[in-house]
Amino acid sequence: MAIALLLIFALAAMTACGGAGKKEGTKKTGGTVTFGTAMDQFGNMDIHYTTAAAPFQAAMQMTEPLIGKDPDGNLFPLLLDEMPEVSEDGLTYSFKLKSGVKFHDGSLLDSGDVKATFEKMLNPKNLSVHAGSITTLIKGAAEYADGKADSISGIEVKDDQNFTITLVSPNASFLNFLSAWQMSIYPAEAATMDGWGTKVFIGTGPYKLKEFEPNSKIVMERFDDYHGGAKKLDSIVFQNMTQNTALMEFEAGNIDLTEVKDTAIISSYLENEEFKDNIVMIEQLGTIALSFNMKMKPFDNPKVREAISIAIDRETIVNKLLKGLGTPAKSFLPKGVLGYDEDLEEFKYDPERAKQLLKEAGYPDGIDVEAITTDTAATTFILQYLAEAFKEANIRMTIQTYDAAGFTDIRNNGKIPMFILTWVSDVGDPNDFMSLYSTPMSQFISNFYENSEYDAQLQKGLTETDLEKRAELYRQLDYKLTRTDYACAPIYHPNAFMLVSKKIKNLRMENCFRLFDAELSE
Amino acid sequence: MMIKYIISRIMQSIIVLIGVTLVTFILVNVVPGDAVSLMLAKRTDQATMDRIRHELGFDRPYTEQYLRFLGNAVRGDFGNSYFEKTPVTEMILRGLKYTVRIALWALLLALALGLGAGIVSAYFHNSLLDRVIMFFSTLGISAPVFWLALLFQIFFGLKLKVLPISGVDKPGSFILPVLTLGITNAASIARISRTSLLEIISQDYIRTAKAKGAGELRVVFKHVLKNAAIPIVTFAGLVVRGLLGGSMLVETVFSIPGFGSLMVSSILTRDIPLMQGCVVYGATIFVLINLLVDLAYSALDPRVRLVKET
Repeated sequence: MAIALLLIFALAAMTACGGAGKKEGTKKTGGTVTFGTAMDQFGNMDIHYTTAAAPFQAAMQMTEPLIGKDPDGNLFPLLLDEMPEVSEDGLTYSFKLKSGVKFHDGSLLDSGDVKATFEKMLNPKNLSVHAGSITTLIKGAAEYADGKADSISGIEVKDDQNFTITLVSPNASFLNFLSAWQMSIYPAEAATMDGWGTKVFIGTGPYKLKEFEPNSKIVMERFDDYHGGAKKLDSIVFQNMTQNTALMEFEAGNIDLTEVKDTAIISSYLENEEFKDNIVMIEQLGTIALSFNMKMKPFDNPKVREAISIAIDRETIVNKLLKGLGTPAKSFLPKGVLGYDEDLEEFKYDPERAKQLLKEAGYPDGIDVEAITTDTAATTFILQYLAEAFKEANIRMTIQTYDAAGFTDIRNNGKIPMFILTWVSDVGDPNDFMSLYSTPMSQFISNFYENSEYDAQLQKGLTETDLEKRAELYRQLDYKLTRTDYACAPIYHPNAFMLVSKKIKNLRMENCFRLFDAELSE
Repeated sequence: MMIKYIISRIMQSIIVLIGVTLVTFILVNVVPGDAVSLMLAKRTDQATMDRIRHELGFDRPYTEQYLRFLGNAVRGDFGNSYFEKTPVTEMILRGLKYTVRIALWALLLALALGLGAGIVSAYFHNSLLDRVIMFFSTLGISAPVFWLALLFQIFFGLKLKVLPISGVDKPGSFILPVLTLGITNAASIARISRTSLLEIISQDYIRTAKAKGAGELRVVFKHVLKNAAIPIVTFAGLVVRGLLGGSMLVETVFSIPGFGSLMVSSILTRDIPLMQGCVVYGATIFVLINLLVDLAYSALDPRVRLVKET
């Protein structure tokens, strides 16, 4: 009895201390939406230093890039009066900022903030993870990042609202690039502010930071002075939780949405009467492909790569393994990206011909290959299936598992023989896909595809402004990559899935995590 | 005498800690996963990576890197986390706030429940009650922490909806994590205390006390418990260490931003300063607990320190 009493006392005391600090919400009309997600890589809100999903999804509520992208992929001026004017030579872009755009602290956005944001990303002492692409695009950016210049010569501030950006060479995907969320504009003070990203985070977006507990929770509240007009919801909350916990919290009605990555779980919800209408599909621009190391045997032989590519039964993978929740790939470019070839025939699954090809390549007894994956990869089940299925074509595959950091390291060092590449574009430009296999980029995915013709055509694609011609260039590049040289074997185009509460209306998540547009029906 | 013993134990602890820093340093430099290329996600050229490596001092000789790390560690300075850009010590203290709170409550629960069950079991030795308690304690020991955690989440959170499933800021958030950790450890304590109590109960001096007419409760609390304390204290020390280890699992399942989950994510992201800080702080806590347990022995049983001194 004494023990039971002690236990009850202890639990009561904990309830009391657990409850401290919790405030009962004063419910206004707008309401709150809570998103359950993994925040273990969300220690800092500054997306200049991360590529993790959750910080980006939060930043999309609070900050904005100069150019926005609608759910259908069309670009529109977001912080600008109109889309920038391009000079004849395609090198200089003239921008005019929308007037009266306020940051969350009340200060007005001006051209100086834009320049300062770029310079913050390229600060030699604290280089952004996204710095690489800027240094190759904008004139003077590389010199600044190397500490050889005091400012980026290619960005010129004319007055508070007008500025120009000059490129190293003409680039047709530059505006797409500016619409990526890591190109969000911060106030100029961000570069020197104490606690920026951990205690302070200011943007021009529709929601402003209220509370941030690293790796645990972020609360954002409506910014009433938003230049696009105040939004409906009062607040948006991100709460850290693992996938399993998030599903339980959703079923218990404690959170309003969560992403579901496991195909088996998605299909079990789709078969569940109570929750099937809660599953929302978000179309993605991405490709899952088997990527080879062309410096390693036997992948140095194009016939071997072709054999592997045609030994993949893409239909079975999509229909049986993914339960139809993806699209079989016939090219590296997914549908919706310029250069995608609607009329191209599907890859033909042909294990017999694969055997024949291996024989021709000098492997009459087939090949032994090794694929590498990570302990957290959502695509490992594809490899496990392939390891079995490849036996049909005399391909004996073993799978090695590393932790994510170890995997990234050996991949970056070119030591991976073969792995499943997941490439989802946040920009949606064909160059974002095809440049992955350019020199020297391809070495960072342990691929080492080197083709000077390919690289030259890729350059042409960047400067070509005629859409039809540009599309044709990328169509050819894709064909060369996946049907002539077989540098990689595209498998399928994935989609993202979320469990969303039925009370949330107006949610379009394509190209941007637009929680800010959500409304509650009750 | 006592002071001399304490000083010698502290000196031993310091040597252990230096060993820990050395092992940590070596491991960090051996595991695959270069921090600089992870930090920059390899989106930059070799020259920039080399420059950053130089700024972080990664191009210096290992001995120099180690001594600098050791010197800073002594001052509690592990630098800033690569990703959060916050001082490591600040992050660790933030995590410990939750972990210590859960561990303390779980320890209290484990001791109360375990000792209580152990005493009852020993006292009603070989009765049906004893068997029932031992059955449940075997079950408790065998249940993996994360499995128990999931069961509790499903039962109390999802089905009954009486307690929060996860998080730290709802009323009662700490109950399920504490129950999970407390119950598994209570089961072990119950078994240990039952065994050592039984051993003492059969001693001559207990029979003498009973023969002299001392009441049952007085015998149990004054004579039996006091003499059975040493193995129980030893085990309680083990439990505290187990609680810190178990907190990694429990914190992940219940989404608690504690020391355990911080350590796990520092390893997964190769956040070297944070990883080193976590290991050194964790080791210090372990060593301190060991020290306290040893000192508790000598307070409980003077023979311990006398033996050491001869």
